[in-house]
Amino acid sequence: MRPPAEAEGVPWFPGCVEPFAGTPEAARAGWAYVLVEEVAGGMAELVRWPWPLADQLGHLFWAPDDPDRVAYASVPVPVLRRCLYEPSDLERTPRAGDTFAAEVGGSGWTADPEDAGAVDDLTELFPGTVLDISPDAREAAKLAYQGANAAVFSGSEAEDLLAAAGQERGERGPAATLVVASPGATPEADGGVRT
Amino acid sequence: MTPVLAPVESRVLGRAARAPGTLVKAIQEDPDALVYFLLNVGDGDTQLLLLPPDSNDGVRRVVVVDVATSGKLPALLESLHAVGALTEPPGSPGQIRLLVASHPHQDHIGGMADLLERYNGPSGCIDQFWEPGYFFPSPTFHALMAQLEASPWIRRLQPTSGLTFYVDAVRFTVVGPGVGLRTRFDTYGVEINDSSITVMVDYPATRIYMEPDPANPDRMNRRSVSGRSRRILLGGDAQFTSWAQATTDFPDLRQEQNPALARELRAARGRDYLAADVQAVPPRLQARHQPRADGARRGAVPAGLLDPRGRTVRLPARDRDGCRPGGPADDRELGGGAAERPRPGHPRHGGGAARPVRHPDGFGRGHGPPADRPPAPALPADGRREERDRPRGGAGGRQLTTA
Repeated sequence: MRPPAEAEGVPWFPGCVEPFAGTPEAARAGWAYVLVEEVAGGMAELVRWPWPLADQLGHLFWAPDDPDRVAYASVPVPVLRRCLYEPSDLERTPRAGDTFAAEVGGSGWTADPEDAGAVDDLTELFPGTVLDISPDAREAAKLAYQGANAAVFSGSEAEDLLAAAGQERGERGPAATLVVASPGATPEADGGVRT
Repeated sequence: MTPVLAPVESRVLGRAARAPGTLVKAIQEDPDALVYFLLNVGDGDTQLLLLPPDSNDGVRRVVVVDVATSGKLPALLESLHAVGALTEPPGSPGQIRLLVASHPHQDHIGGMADLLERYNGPSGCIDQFWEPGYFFPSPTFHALMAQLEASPWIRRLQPTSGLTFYVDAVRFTVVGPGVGLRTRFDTYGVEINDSSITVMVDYPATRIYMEPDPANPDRMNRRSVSGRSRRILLGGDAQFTSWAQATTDFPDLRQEQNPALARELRAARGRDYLAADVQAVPPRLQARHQPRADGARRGAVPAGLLDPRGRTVRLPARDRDGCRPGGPADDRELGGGAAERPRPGHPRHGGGAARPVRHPDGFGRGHGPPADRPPAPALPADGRREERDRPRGGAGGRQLTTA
């Protein structure tokens, strides 16, 4: 089963991203899907993908030529914590599977993972808005996994449950906007960051 | 403290051969051997077990553990079929008896969606699929799940420690993840590498032989004989947490935790239960651009033949710096080629057409001794002597560095 062509999908548009991207087309054109692929040896390997698409059955997919647009960066875990997680009040430690929506851009990315030297200034990777979409990305992966292994039922069989789930999703609110601090930034008393 | 790992003594290694055609010839001369391939796919894992001919129909089938890239494994299967080592053409029903995705990292599943697309159809080339049950929000994972959803005829399993699976004369025992770890996956508190399926492969699975009844030549008696099996331990990228759980599930692994139990287990099993001849486990994961502490290259490509009588192991010699970079000829054979880098996403990249066999041991880098190195002595013909010579009290074996 080949991945669908881009024209066969629509940009993935979870509610947590909607207030920032505006439209699905804008999400696909102007945002990237950034995944913490690996945490090893004190380094976090980030992989930046084009924004995903969704097919007619609700599967997330990436267009056949999307892999050619993938970019890589390696960030020391302490830098990631100090300059992204802590200023953004993310109390967890960086871990593989953390996922961000980021406005495209940044000079610190490389097309070849072997060339991905350590990046100490996260503003080189994230010049614009960065969102923590880990919960939605995890949920999408869980849906993919469970849908691949077990039957998927028709929604007409459980309209009340779907309505309740929809309400729950609506209550989640937008994704957390992350603060990207420069290496020399110092935390302020109010919890903010002065760069 | 009893060492868990011990170096392989050179006398247990078969003569490392360099002449073109030697590995193919060795397979042909030892048709009951189980052959293990670790393909050179750069920063990633792709492993193939060419199973011995099935005792019921004589067909050789395969087990695949991880597929990092799209091209090399299909090329190897084509080449093995071309030289007669693989009985049926790639894609034949039931040929891939088991496909294991040790954990859902790109460098372990990057080529799986492609493999399913090539060989999987309702005729059922892929009989069974194992994965740890860890969902990961990567595009590669989504692509693989989409392929699986469209392949309902594949039996899926999320094994935990202790599961045993027999494929004719070969036994697969899952060492990790332990069920105590598996049940914590949903918390996202388990690191993805620790979700790795670690599997132990024993050949032969049992040692039951038939002999004529002395009192009645028309009847056969079955006899169980002692003698160690050959064992491969494939560890994915399991790290400390997974192995710590394994010490609970397999008390043999850390005998000082419960010496009395360890003694009883040893007496019952008659051997070091976890001793392995080949161990493909990562020493410790390091970042991509950092040099390996042990100096070993990633993507080493050994191959080994495991004889059912337990007397033949052919593995590449390894110099003191780790797996030796291969010469120009090393990467060219049996679907070889230079290290194929795992590519992100649905792998429609690398080609890897079948290539003619020119060098039997040339499955990639790290195979064969340096030109100025004398070949390792041949393994003694009597497998029992080897068992006697093995270091006691630990899982001795050859450790292959993978990541």
